[in-house]
Order: sequence, then C-alpha cells, then structure tokens
Amino acid sequence: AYDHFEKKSPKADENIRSIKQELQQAVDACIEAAGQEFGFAGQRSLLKAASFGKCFLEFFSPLKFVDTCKTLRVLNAVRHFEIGIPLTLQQYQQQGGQALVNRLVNRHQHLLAFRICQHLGLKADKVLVHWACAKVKTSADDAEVSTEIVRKLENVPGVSYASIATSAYKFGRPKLATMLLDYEPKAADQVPLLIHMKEDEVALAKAIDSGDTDLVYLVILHLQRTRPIKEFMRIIHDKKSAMDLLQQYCKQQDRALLRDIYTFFDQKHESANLYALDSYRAKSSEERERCLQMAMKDFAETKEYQFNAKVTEDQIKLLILQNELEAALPTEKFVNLPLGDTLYKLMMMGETKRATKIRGDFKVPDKRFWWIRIKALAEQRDWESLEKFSKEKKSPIGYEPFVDVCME
Amino acid sequence: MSTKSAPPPGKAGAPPPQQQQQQQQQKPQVVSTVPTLSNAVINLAALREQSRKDLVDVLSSVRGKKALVLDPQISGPLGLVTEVSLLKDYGVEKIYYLTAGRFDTDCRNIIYITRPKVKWMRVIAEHIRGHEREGHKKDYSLFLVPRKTMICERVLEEERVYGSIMVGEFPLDLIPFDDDVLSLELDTSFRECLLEGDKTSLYYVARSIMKIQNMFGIIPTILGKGHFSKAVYEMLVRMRKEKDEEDISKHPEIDSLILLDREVDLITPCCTQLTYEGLVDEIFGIHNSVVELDPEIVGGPAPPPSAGGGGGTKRAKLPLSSNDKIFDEIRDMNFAQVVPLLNKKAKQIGEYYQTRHDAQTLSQISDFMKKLGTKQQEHNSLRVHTNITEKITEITNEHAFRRRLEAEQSLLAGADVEETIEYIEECINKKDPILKVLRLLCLLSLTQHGIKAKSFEFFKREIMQTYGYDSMFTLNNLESLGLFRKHEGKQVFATLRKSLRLIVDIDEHNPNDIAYVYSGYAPLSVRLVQAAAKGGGAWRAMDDMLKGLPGPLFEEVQSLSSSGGSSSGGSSGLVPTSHKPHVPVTLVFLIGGATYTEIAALRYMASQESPTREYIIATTK
Repeated sequence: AYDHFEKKSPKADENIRSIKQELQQAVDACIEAAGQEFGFAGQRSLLKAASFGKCFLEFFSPLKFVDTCKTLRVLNAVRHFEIGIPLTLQQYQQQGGQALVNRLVNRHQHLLAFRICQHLGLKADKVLVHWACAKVKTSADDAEVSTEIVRKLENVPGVSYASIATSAYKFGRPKLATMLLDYEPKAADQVPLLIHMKEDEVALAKAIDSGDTDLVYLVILHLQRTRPIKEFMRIIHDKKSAMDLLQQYCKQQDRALLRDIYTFFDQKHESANLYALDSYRAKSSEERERCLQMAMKDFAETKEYQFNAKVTEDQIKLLILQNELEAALPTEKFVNLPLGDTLYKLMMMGETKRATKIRGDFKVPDKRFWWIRIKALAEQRDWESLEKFSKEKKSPIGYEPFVDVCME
Repeated sequence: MSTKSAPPPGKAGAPPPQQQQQQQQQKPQVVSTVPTLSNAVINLAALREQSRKDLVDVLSSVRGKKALVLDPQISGPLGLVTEVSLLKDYGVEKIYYLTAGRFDTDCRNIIYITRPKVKWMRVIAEHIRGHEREGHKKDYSLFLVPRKTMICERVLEEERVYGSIMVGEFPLDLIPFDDDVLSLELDTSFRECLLEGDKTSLYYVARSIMKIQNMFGIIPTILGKGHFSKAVYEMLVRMRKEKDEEDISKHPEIDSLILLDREVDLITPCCTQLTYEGLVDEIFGIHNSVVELDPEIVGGPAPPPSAGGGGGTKRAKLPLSSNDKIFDEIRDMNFAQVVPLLNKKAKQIGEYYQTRHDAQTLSQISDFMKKLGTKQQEHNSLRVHTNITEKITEITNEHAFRRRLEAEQSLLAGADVEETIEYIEECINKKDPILKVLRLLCLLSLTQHGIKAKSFEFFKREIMQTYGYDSMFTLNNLESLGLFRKHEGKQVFATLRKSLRLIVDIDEHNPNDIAYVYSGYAPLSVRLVQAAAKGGGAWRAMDDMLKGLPGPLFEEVQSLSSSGGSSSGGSSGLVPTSHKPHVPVTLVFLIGGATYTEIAALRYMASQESPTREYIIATTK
C-alpha cells in the first residue's frame, strides 16, 4: 500500500480519499520505512508522505512520528563518515540511547555524545566527566585545565569531580587533582581521595567542614597510623573539633594515647581528671592513692583548679582514714563511702567519738553535722539521745528537723 | 553474667506453638506502642512506614530463622515503629538484649542492631570469639543505627572479627512519638555536643531534616538560635548541594523550620514540670512513651495487653500516647486541673452505666451496647489514670515538694535568694537525691547569672563530702557547660524575664498563657518559638534582646528551585503564603532534648493562635 501511496501523495488528496480505509496503516508504514531507510532522500520523502497523510487522519498520535524523527537525527549523526557507526534502527532500539552515548564517549566523541544527550533528554554528567577525564590527560597547564573544566561543568548538577580528580591523579597530576577536588560537593567522595593522594591536612580540613564526624575519624585514624606521634599532634592540635573527637575515641579505646595527648599539650587539669578517674579502676588501695596523688599534683599546677587539688587532697585523707577504720572495725566497709555517709555509719555504730574527730579533721559545718546526727539517731529510734542532743546546745538548724524526723 | 533474655533458658527447644507463646513473654522489652498518628497534620505515618520498610530489609537480608540482639537503647524506639508480629513474620525467633559476657542461643543466624558505639563492638567481638572457642558455627550480621561508622569497623578489625561479621546500616532516625512529636532518640546528644565536642548527633539531625524535606518538600523558611542550630543549617545547605537529583516537584507541606539549641534555654529543664505528663515523667520516668509503674497502679483484673511479661516483670508497663483518649485529654493540663476533670469523667461514665437501667426501648439498648466497648476501655484507662493521679497527689501534697516548688518559683521570679540558698544547703544536708540538688543549684546559677564565689566553693565542698568524691566530675562538667558557675557580670535572665514576660500570673484552673505548664513560668524556649512564629522580621528584631544567650540568631530562606542552595533573606518571616489551602505547619526542632511541658506549651500555642498554625515538634530526645 505504501508504494502506491508514496507516488501519489504529493499530487492530490483524491487518492487519499480512495485509500481512506488503509490510511492509518499507510502512515504507520511510512514512518516505519523511513526509520529503516539509510539514505537521506528516502527518509525525507517517506517522512513527508507520512506527515502529509496524517493530516487526514482524525485520531493519530504524533508521538511515533516525533520519536522516529528524533531517532533518525541521532542515527544519521552517528552514521556520518567521520564517526562511522552504521547502526540500524533495530540495533539502536535494542541498545538504547545510553549505550550509544557510551560508545561515542569511548571513541572520544564527547561533543556529539553531549549533543545527543541533550537531544534525547538523557543525563549528560557521565559524558562530561569522561570528557574532563580525557581533558586532564592533555598536556595543558594545570590551572588552565582546571578553569576550563570548571567553567564547563559548573552548571551541571551531579558531576563527580572526585572521579575526574582520580583520573588526574592516576595520570600523575596531583596538583590538578587537588584543584579539581576542591569543587567536589560530596565530602564523602572528596576526603578518601585526598587521603589517598597524601593530602592529609586538606582532607582533615574538608572532613571537619562537612560536619560528618565519621569522615573526621577516618582522617584522624589514618594520620595516627601513618605519622609519627609528634607530627600527628602538630597537625591536629589547632583543630578543635578533631581534637575533641580524638579524645572521645581515646577515652573509649586508647587511654595511653589520651595520656600522651594531655602531656603533649600540657593539659594538666584533663590529665588530673584522668588520674582521678583511674583511681576508680585501681585494684589496690595503694595504687588508688598513687593515682589520686598524681591527680592532685596535676590539679595543683593549674591556676583554676586549685579547688580540685584541695578536694583531691581531702579525698586521699579520707581514703587513708577509711582504710584505718576498716582495720579498726573489721566487720564494716568504709572505702568508697562519701564523707557524710562515713560519719553517718559511724554514728549508727555508736562510734560518736570517732565521728566527732573526723568532723573536726574535715571541717564539716555544724549544720550538716547536726543533720547527720539527727538522722542517725532517728533511724536508730534512739529518741532519748535525740532529746538529749537537742538540748546540748542551741541547734544551728532550728528545731524543725527534729520534729520532721520524729514524724517520719 | 549471661545475656539477658526474659524466658528461662531451659525452654529453648520447645515445640513451635509454645515457642510462639514464649515469644510473647519474651517481649517485655519491645513493647509495641505504635501510635496511630491518624490526626497528624502531615503524613508522619509515611515516615514510620519508611523505617518499617528499612527494618524489613534488614531482617530479610539474612535468610532463615534468626535471633535478634538489640542494643537496649534501640528496643524502645523500635517498639514505636513496629509490632512484634512483623518481626516474627520475618523469621525472628528470639530477641535478646545485648549484654557483655557469654551469649547462648540455638539460632544459627544472629542479627545485631545497635548504635555505633565502641563498647558494643567489643561486646559483639567477645560473643563471636566465645562461639568460636566452643566450636559453634554461626552467621553474624550487624546493623548500625542510623549508619555505619568507620570507627566501629575499625574496632571490629582490631578485635579480629571483622571478617566474620556482615556490617550494614539501618537508617532509623526520626521516630514519630505522636501526632505531632518526633524524636531521634539520641539521649546523649546534649552531652556529646556541648561537653565532649562530638557533633555526630548534629549530623544526624541534619540528615533527618533532609529526610523530611525529601518526603514533604523543601522547607522554605528556616529560623534558629544557637551555635548548633547554625551548624545544622549549614549542613543542610551543604547536603542539598551534594544531592544529585533534585525533586522540586514536591509542594512544601511544611512552611517553616525553627531550630533551637537546648543551650539557649537551660533554665526550663531545671524546673519541675507541672503538667500531668510532666509530673508522671518527674515521678515515674517516661521512656519511649512508656511508663513503668507498680502493678497495683495499673491494677485491675485485666491489665493492658502491653503489660507483657505479667508475673515475670515486677513493673507493669503502660504506654502513654494520644491513642488513650483520657490521657490525651489530660496529658498537657496543669496538674491542678486534672483532678476535677477526672472526677467529672468518672461521673459521666457512671451516668452512662446508669442509662442501662433506664433503657426502655430496643434501640436504646442497642445504642448502649454499641458504645459499651469504647466506654469500657475509657473506664479502664480512667481507673489507671486516677490511680496515678492519687499517687502524684500524695507526693505533691508533701511538704518537701511544695518547698521545692516555692524555691523554684522564687528563683524564677528573682525574689529572695538567701532563703533558697539555705534551702538548697538543707537539701544537701538531708542528702536528698543529687539530681534534685543539682537542678536547684543550676537554676540558682542560671537565674542569678552565677553563684557568689564564697557559696560556690561552699556548695561544691558540701556536695562532694555528702555525695562522694566522684561528684567532682559532675560538677566540673556542669561548670564547663556554664550551668553552674561563679557570679559574674550582667543579669541576662533578669532582663529576659521582663522583655519576654516569662513570669505570668496564672489561674491554674483556667489557663490563658503557656506559663500554665509551670504554674507561672513560661518556658523561655517556647517564648522564642512564639516570637519566631510571628513573622514579619520579628525574629531578627529579637537579636539584640537575645544577645545574652549563647549562639547566633539567624533567619534564612531556602529557594525551592534546584540550583541555589539558599539565599539569605531577612524580611519574609513566616507569613503564610496565600495560595496554600492548608494550615501552615511549622517544624520546631529542639536540638538537645525537649521537656514534656515544652511540648504541652507548644500544643497550647497551636490551639490559641490565630491565624492557626500547626506545630510539629522534633527533638534529639
């Protein structure tokens, strides 16, 4: 039917009327045939015929026509002798546009591939990246290449600068790679590559910027593994957030390193805190005392932590005292109790004399001492002594507490 | 110490039907408290659906029957996302808590779900090595919530088990707690960010906001105050740039985001919460919207199904959410209102039962029967809440509680400090719970802008001698956070109190301001949200007033189009754009935690404002 139609179509619509029944098929056939046709002229006349014919159809979807035209443009372009990919329509349909683009890219036909992408509405980022990778291998000056690439790519979303940089680096142009990496928006891609390129300090800075702590750890741990300790410390000492993270890590994993850090940066109070914490892990009371001594020494060397030094001293005193108590009163445990509880316990045991002495040693304020006394007496239900105690002296805390404990 | 699991270990090889029952018993940990979310302004259920899908992916990544080993911190949140039946459907035979020491199970496949914490990695490594020694061959997989971290992988490597475990991630982040509350459930976020300088949780915050933006469209306006809020905002901009695909098509369902650091308002959490839910939390403690109570409080012949282990556990668990009609009504009320309301409710139900006797016609009877189910449910929950209320009333009527409130109120109002200082000293002398003492001390320090040097050292010594040397660490930490410090300079709080009307006279029975949640003190954080929601540049105007609070104040506009990240725009404010048919929705993100009272106050605001604005509250815990 289409041969017949092809000849007549340019002439008049009479013929069209005559084949009205088959017009639909005829137009379809024309479009199909145009797709198969290799020569320009043939394509053109077939398409013209189809377009003419479809005017007479009431219900005709132009989609197929448009599609074929698009496809033909692509095919014609790649069949051009300079490119030389003689594809048939079937081959093209099977492979799809993306595959064709990939083939072109591999042949370094970037411009054409890019155009085809635009034409077919495909994502062009891969093409551009490939182009840039190729560009990197040309011999132009670092800065020049970098600006050219960036100029071309800056308006395209989703371009992976990291992969371009990788190829630059592999090609032996680390400087260019670093320049390009600067444009990579994804820190997760950027940082590992920087580490790989031994740009550790840049990597650290980028990781911190990204706010992704995991990346920061990645860099820190890498540095710690590869650099001597002094250099490692030098690199991270002015990066506060990296320092904080490292300290966190050390607290959980590597206390020895933590101590090194504190010594290295002369952070006496932190070091003191660490000793003080260690005292809770100590197995014997001698070891414990030693830890506390160290803590006290370090606290004492900082101006702001004089108070802590003092209380640590008290704690040592208390510890010694508690050990003595345990020796004197072997049935009871005193170590680890706070001072207040120690007093309370002594009073509960009726060791009021010892308690009073300790109170003096530690300068426990009257008020608190009275409270402990009252509570202890009430707990023992020793109401007589409580009454006696209340009359001993004028109470520093009034007599309300007496009433309270009695009520309870 | 062996791995905790609820059933006695002897029953492991029981036949299937029994095993199923057993599984029911095993469940006290994953109490299913899935809220309905039916009244949410935006489709929060979609958020949960996503998490559920992720969970299914996790479970089906391992073939066959498996044992699930949970980080205790995860089990609660998981209960808010899924039911036990779903886990069973995907072949989970048993559920355990992750604990140190020996771990015995007869399942071949073991799935661990934990937070990326170093200590857990060590525990898992220990399990694996233990099994190896005993010659058990098992398959291990580990899923880290919300994502894999380098550091965990490295620890596993160092422990030499990295090769024998499959490591994946389970991106569970924002969990819907209720129609309008979301939480990341990162309980240590505040401590990590402020004290330890570990900003990991901020990264998670930003990621979760990105997730919300993916689902509900870009949020056009972002307001905030505080260093961390600013950092989160910067990460948001950055993450948007990183994304390849842009879906601009989504119509923004949320029109503004307010980010607030907890650091900006530290005063509020130091006060005793006075709403019903707040008091339940103060007295019993609410975790993952479940409160554990003495069984006799829940009591009655038919304990709610989620009471789980029944005889096995001593404490009964009661899920608290707006699913419970009565609770929904009273949760945000000042406690003073609750008692009369419960009385009224009881009377209503009594009257309703009465109608049965009056019912004459058939239709009346059938009407009665129709309502019977819901009424009985209501009756049941009414009884529970009445019991709780009685318990709370007992405590609130105590002299000690009232004195504490008085102390707080006078600090907030800036009245007589000396008396309060004496009161705190007395508390220490009595060795009241240290938390109470510290909250009062911090409140004192915050409202007075520090404590006089003499009493500062005095308090420190008193606390250490009473509560032990180790409280030195706590005090040092509080000091470095600025919660507890020596007196200095200007009175920030005093000015704010005036300019933001933080102290308001309130009729507890008939509230007319958000201050009702603390019987007279309006939470600073919520006042800030109020100001931010006004729009029209009101937020920027606050900058001077809020100078005394830490961190920068910002207001930014995100463009909806794909290319630009965002541009700074000052004046646009939160004026609802006219073409939007729905009520404007604001997402309030409190970074570092929220109190129940703040949530209550925000709800109250939403109900009072005109033009109305809906609030969704998100927090790290």
